[in-house]
Amino acid sequence: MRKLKFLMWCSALLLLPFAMMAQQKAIQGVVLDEETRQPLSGISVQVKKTRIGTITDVSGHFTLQVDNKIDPVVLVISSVGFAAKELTIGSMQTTITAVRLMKAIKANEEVIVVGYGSQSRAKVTNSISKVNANALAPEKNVVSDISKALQGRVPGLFIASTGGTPNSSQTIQIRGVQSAVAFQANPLIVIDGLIIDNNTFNLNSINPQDVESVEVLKDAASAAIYGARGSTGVILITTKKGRLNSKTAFSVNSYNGFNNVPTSRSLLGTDDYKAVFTEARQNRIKDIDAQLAAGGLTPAQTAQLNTGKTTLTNAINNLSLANRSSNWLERIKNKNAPVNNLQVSMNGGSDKTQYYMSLGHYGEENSMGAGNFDRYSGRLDLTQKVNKWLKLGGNLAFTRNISKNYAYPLRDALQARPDTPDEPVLNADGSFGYYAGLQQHPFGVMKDNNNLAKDNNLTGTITLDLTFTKNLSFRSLLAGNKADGNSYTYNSPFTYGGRPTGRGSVRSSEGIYYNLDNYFTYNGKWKKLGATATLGQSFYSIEQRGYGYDLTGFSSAAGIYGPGAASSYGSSFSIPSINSFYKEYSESYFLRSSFDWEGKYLLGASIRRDGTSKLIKDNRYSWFPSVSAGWVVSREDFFKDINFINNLKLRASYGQTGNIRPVGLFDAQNLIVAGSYLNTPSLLISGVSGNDAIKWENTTQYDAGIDLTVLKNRLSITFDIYKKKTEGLLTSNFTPMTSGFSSKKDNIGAIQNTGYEVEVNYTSDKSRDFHWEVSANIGVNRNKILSLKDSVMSYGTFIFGGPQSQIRVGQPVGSVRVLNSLGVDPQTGDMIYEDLNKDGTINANDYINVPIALPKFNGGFNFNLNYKGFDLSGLFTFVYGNKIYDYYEQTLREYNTDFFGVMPNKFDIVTKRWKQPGDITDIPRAIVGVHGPQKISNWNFQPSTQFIYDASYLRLRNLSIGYELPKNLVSRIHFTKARVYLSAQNVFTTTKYIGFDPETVSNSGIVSSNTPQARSMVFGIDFSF
Amino acid sequence: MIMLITNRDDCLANSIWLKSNKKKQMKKYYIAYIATVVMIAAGCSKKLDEVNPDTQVRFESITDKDLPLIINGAYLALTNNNYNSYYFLHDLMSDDVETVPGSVHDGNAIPISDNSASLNYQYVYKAIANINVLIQYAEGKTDAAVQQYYAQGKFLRAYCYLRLVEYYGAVPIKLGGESVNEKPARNTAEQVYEFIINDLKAAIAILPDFSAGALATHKPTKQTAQALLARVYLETGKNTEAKAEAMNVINSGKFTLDNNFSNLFGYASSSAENIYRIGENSTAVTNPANSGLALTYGPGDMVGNPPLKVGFGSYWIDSNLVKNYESADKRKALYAYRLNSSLGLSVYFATKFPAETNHAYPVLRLSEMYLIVAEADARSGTVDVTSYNAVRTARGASTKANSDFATPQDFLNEIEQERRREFVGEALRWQDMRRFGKAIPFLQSKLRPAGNVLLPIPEREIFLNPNMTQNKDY
Repeated sequence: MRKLKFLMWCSALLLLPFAMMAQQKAIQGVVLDEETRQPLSGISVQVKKTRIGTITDVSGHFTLQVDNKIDPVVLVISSVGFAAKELTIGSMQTTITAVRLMKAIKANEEVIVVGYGSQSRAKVTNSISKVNANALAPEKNVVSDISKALQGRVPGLFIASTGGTPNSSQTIQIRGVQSAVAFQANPLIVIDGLIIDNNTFNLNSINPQDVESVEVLKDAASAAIYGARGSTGVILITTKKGRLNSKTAFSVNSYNGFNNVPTSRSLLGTDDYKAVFTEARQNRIKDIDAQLAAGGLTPAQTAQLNTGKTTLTNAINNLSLANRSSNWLERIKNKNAPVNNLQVSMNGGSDKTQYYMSLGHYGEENSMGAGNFDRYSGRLDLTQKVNKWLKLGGNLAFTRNISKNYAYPLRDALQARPDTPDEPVLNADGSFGYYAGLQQHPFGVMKDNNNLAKDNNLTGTITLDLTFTKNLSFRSLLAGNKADGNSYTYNSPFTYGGRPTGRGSVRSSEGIYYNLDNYFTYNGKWKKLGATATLGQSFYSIEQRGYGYDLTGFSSAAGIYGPGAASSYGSSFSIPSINSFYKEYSESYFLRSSFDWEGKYLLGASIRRDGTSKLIKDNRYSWFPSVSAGWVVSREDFFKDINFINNLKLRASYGQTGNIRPVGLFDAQNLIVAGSYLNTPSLLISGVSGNDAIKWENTTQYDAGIDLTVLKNRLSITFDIYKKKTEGLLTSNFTPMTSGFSSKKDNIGAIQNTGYEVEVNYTSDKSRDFHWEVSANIGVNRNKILSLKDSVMSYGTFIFGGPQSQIRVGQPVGSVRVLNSLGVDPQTGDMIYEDLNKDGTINANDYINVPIALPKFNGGFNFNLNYKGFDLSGLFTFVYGNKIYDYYEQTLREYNTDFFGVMPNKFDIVTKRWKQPGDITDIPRAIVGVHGPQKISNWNFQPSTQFIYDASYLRLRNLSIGYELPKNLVSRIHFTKARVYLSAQNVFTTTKYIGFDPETVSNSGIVSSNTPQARSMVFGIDFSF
Repeated sequence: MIMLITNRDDCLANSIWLKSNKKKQMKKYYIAYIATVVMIAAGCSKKLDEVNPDTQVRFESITDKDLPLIINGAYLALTNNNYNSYYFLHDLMSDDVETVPGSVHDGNAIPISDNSASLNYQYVYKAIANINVLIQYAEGKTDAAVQQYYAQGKFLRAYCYLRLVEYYGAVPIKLGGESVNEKPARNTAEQVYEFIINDLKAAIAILPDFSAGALATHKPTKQTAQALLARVYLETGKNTEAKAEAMNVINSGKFTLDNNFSNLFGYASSSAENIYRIGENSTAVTNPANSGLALTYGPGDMVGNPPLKVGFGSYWIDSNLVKNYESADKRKALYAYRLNSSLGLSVYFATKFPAETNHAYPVLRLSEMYLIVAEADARSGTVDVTSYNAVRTARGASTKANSDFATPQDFLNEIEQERRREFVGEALRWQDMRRFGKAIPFLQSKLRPAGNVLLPIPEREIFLNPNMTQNKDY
C-alpha cells in the first residue's frame, strides 16, 4: 500500500521541471507522524552510504544538498521510536512531501529493565512481561496493593488475595509453584535495585501510583542474574522519575467512593435454626429407639440409651429462642465503607537534573467488621549529572501504614444464634455478658477495641554512575529498607478478651535490609556486531528483630487504656516467641554478556555465583548459569517483502536459578532453644530438626518464544512455552511425632512445571476519533511432582480435623487427603464414602488425594475504548481448574453444641438436608452423637470430597469510565490535563463456588477464615498543570 | 585508603564514606574508587560466617550448666502450658466424669477428631526427645551434678513412657540418637513397661532422698521414682514388687498423710503428703486463674463479674460418686452443686483444684502408696485394712476391720471405691477401671467397642509414619 502511494508521488514529481545540469541538487521534504499527521521535528534524514544528512526542523521540513553524481539517492529517514524508512529518489526528483513515519513497534523500541541494567526490547531474548504506569493508574485498580494491580495483566502470573480485609497479603506465583510450600513460591521483588526477599515486607508499603513500570522476569535466563533468589521469578518495580529538559508538571489524582462486601451465602434464621436443632436430636432419639427395639442389649446398655434419650429430650425442651431473627453475616458488614485515594506529584528536569516528588494517601474502612486502614506515602527522586563522567542519583520513599481498631467477628457471626439481640447483654458492672451460652456477641467483639498497628517503611537508594568511555561505565548502588512495625492490642476490662482486668499486648519489629551492588557495564559495537557485558558484585544483608510484652491489670475507667496504664506484666510463657532476632547475609558475583549481529542474531549468557549464611560452609556457594538466543526473522532480507509482518522474533533460553527461602536461618544446625518454664530458663529442642546436608534448591528452565507484530504494528502476539524443573526441592519434611520434632528442612525431591503463555494485543488506528485497544492473555501451567525422598510428603497448613495437605509423586502440589464421598444414602440420610481398600471399614486408609490448589489456567482480558474525550476500560480476570476445600462448611455441619455450650448457626445450605427416607440430596441429615454405619460422632462431616468445590471464576475486576476535558478548554485555565472518572472494582464474579469468594483462599486451597473481597465504587478526578 | 582498609568489616559505612568523598570532585579518581570497592567486596565474604543465633544453642555446644534448663524444657514440652487439656483425658474416659449431651465428649468418648488426644501423644514424645538430648549428653559422665540431672531425666522419661503406654498401648520406644525421619513401628507393651522399669531403677540408684522445702515436690527424688515404680508394678500385676516399692516410700519417713485434704492441691502447697507434682505457668492472659484443672473442672459461672467462677462448666462428676462419701468425709466438701444451663439440671463440679495463676498437677501422693499396699495384699489373697484405714482416718471417714470383708475380692471392691473417692480428677481412674475389670463393661454399656479402652493414635501420625498402625476400633 505504502509502496503504491509512493510510486504515485514519484510519477507526479517526474512531471516537474528541474535543472538537470546542476552539480548539486536540493532535496526538500516534510516528515509527518503517520498516526497524528503532525509534523515531526528532529528526525534524521541521511543519504544512504554517505555522511550527508540533516534533521527536520520544528515544522518537520528538511533540505538536503546532494551531489548529482549520487544516483540513485537513497534517503534513510529515521529516529528513535520510529520505524526507519528508506526512499529512493529518482534523478529528476528534488521534492518529497509528507513522508509519513510510522511509530515503531512500541514494544521493539521499548526499554526493558532487567537485573542490573536495561535492554532494548528488540534485543531481549528472554521472556519478560512489562506493565506500564497506565495500567497501574488508580482508577484501574481500586486497591492498596501493587500486586493486586498486576492481576490478569501478565500471562503466567497468578495472583490471589488471601483475604478481603484491608492490608491483607497476596499469593503470587510465576509459572506455577516450584516449592512444596506455596507461600515460599512468591517471586523475588526488586524495587529500583532494592532487593526485597523477606517475608516481612508488606507490598502495601509501595504506593502503586509511584510506579513507572513493572517488569516480570519469567524465564530462567532473565532471572538467573538474580541467581540464588531468582527461581520463583522476579518482579522488578521501577519508580517514577523526572524527565530531562521538561517543564515542572504537577499532577493530582484523587478518588472517593465506598466498598461493599457481596456475600452469596446466608445463615439460618431463628425458625430454621430451631428446626434443625430439634431435628438433629430427634434423629438421634429415633436411632436410639431403633436400637432399643432391635433388642440384644444388656440392662446397662438399655439404661445408658434411655439416659441419652432423656438428655436429648431435655436439650430440645431447654432450647428457648426469642421471637426475632438476625442474619449476623449481614449485620457485621460495614455497608458503604469509605475508600479514598489522593496522589499529588511533581516532576520535571533541566539538562542535568531530573526530579520527582509525590505525596499520597490511601484510606479504606474495613467493609466487614470494624476498623480502618490508612497509608501515607511520600517519595523524592533526584538525579544529577555532575559532569561528563559522573552522575549521582538517589531516592527516598516513606510509607506509613496504620491499621486502627481492627475487628473481624466473622467467626462470631457464623456461630451466633440467630435470635441473639442487637445489642450485647451487659453485666451489672458494664462488662459484656452472654446471651446464649458463652457465645461472644459479634458487636461486642467489634466494640471497645483500641487496637492500633503502625508500620513505618523507609526505602532509599543511592546510585553513583561513572562513565569512563562511551562504551564503559560503572555503577555503585546502595539500596536500603528500614521497616519498623509496632502494634498495640488492647481489650478493656469490659470486653470478652479483656475480663476482668484488661489486656494489652505490645509487639514491635524492626528490620534493616540493604544491598550493595557494584558493576561495570560495557556496551560496544563493531560494525555489525554489538556486544554488551555486565560484571559485578552484590552483597545483601537482612537483619530483623522482634520484641514485645503482654500487659494486664488495667483500670476500667474510660479513657485509660495506654500501655502505661497497666499495672502488671502478663505471662512469661510468651517471651521466647515474641522476642526474636534474625540475620542473614549473602554475597554474589555475576557476569552477563550479550551479542547481536545486525540486530538479527542475538545471543546472551550470564553466570552468577551466590553464597548464603544460611547454609554450612561446604554447601554455601553455588553457580547459576544461563544462555539465550534470538533470531529476528523479520530483519532477514528474504523478509523484506512480507509487509504485513512488522516484526517476528524467535527466542529460546535456558538457565538455572536457585532458591534458599524455604530454609530458616539456622535450619542447618541442630538447636535447642531458650524458653521460660515457671519463670525460670529452659532449653527445649527446636521444632525444626537441623540438617547440615541441605543445599540450594535448583531450578532449570527452558523457554522458547515467538514475538510477532503484524498489521502495521497494531496486532502483537507473544507466545512462550516453557519447561521448568526444580531439583533439590527444599521444604519442611514433616517428621513423625515420635521424633519430637515437627519437621526437618530437606532437599526432598523434584518438581516440574510445564506450560505456555499467550498474549495478544490489538490497537486500532489512533488517529481516528474512536480508537480502541484490547489485550488478552492466558497462562496454562501443569505442575507435577517428579520424585520425592518419601513417596508422600505433607504440604501447607495443617488444620486439625480438616483435610491434610500433601504431595505425592506424579501429582501436582496442593492436594488434600480426604475420603471420597459417594453422596447421601437416600435410606438413612448418612454419608456414603468409598471403601478404597475394601476392608469394610472407612478410615484413614481410604483417603484419596485430590489436587485442589493449582489452577489449570488463568489469565485476563482487558479493553480500552476511546471516543474523543471519553474512555471506557475494563479488566476481566479468570482462573480455571482449581478447587476449594471449604473448611467453614465442614465445621458448621456439626449439630452438637460447641465449646460455648451452644449449637453454632449453620449456612442455609442445610435446609436442603435429608429429612426422610427417599430424599435425594447432597446434604446429609442433621444428627448429633454417633451415627453412620460405623457409629462415630463425626461421620457425616469427616474431611471428604463433599466439601470440595470448583473454584474457577470469571471476574470483571475493574470497569472505569472517564472523560477528559478538551485540551483547548483546559489550557485556558493553564491545565495540561483534566479528567474525571467513575470506577468500579470487583464488579461481578461468575463462579460455581457457593462460598464467599473463590479467590480469597489460603494458598493450600483451603478456606478457613478468609474474608471475601469488597466491591468498590469510586468517583475521581485526575488533572495536571 | 588506609582508613578504608582498617575499617573494612563494615561494608555499609565504607560505601557511604566513599560517596561523600566523591563530592570533593577529585579529578578522575574513580580508579581508586573502584579498587576500593572491589577490596571491600572481597571483605564482605567473611560476614557470612558471623551469623549465629542468640537464643539457641547447638547440640554440640551443650554444657553441664545447660542440663537443668533441658529438664525444664522437657516439662515445658510435656505441659505445653496447656496440660489440663490432655492430663484429664483418662478421667474423662472414665465413669467419674460426665459432660454435656451432644458435645464432642458425650458418652465419655474421645473421638479421633479430638485434638487433645493428639497433643497428648505429640507433646509427650517431644518431652522424651528433649530428655534424650540430655541422656545422650550425660551418658557415661561421672560428674555428680551431671548424674543427678541424668537420673531426673530418666525418671521423667519413665513418666512420659508410662503415660504413652497407658493411653496408647504398645508405642515405639525412642532412645535418642535415631534419625528424625525414622518411621518406627510399635514396640510391644511389655517392652515399654520393661523400659520404664529400667529407667526408674536407674533413677532410684542415683537420685537423692526427698527433702522437704518450697516446691520440693516439683523435683524427682529417690522416693518419687520408687513411688512411680510401685504404680508400674501394680499395673503390671507384680504385686509383691509393688508393695515393696510402696513400703519403701512409706517407710522413708519423708511423707505423712495430711489431715487437711483441701491443703494438698495449691501450687505452693507444702503438704507432706505430696510426693511429686508437675508445675505449670498460666498462659491465660486475661484471667490467669482461669486455667489449669480449675478451668477443666470448674463450674464456670461467668455471669457476674467480678468475681468470676472459673471453669468450662462442661465437665462434672458422677453424682453417684459424690453421694458415696460419708458426710464427715473431708473430701465431700470439695464439690459445688450448681445448675448447668444447657442440661437444665444441677450437677456436682469438682473444686479441689484451686484457681491460681500457677498450677501443680498431682502425680504421686502418699495416700496412693497406702492404697497400693492394701491392694497388693488383697490381690495376693490377704485382707489387711491397716493402710486403707490410715487413708480413711486422715480424710475424717470411718474405718473398717479386716473382718468386715468376707473375701479379698470384697476388700478389692472397697479399695476401688476408696481410690475413686480419693483421686477424682487426678488421672488415675481409667487405669483403675482397667485393673478392676470395669473398663470394658463400661464401654459396652456406652455401646462403644472394646478397643476404645485406648486412645486413638493421632491420624496425623499414621499419615506421617506409614509403619504406625491405628489402635483397634478407631
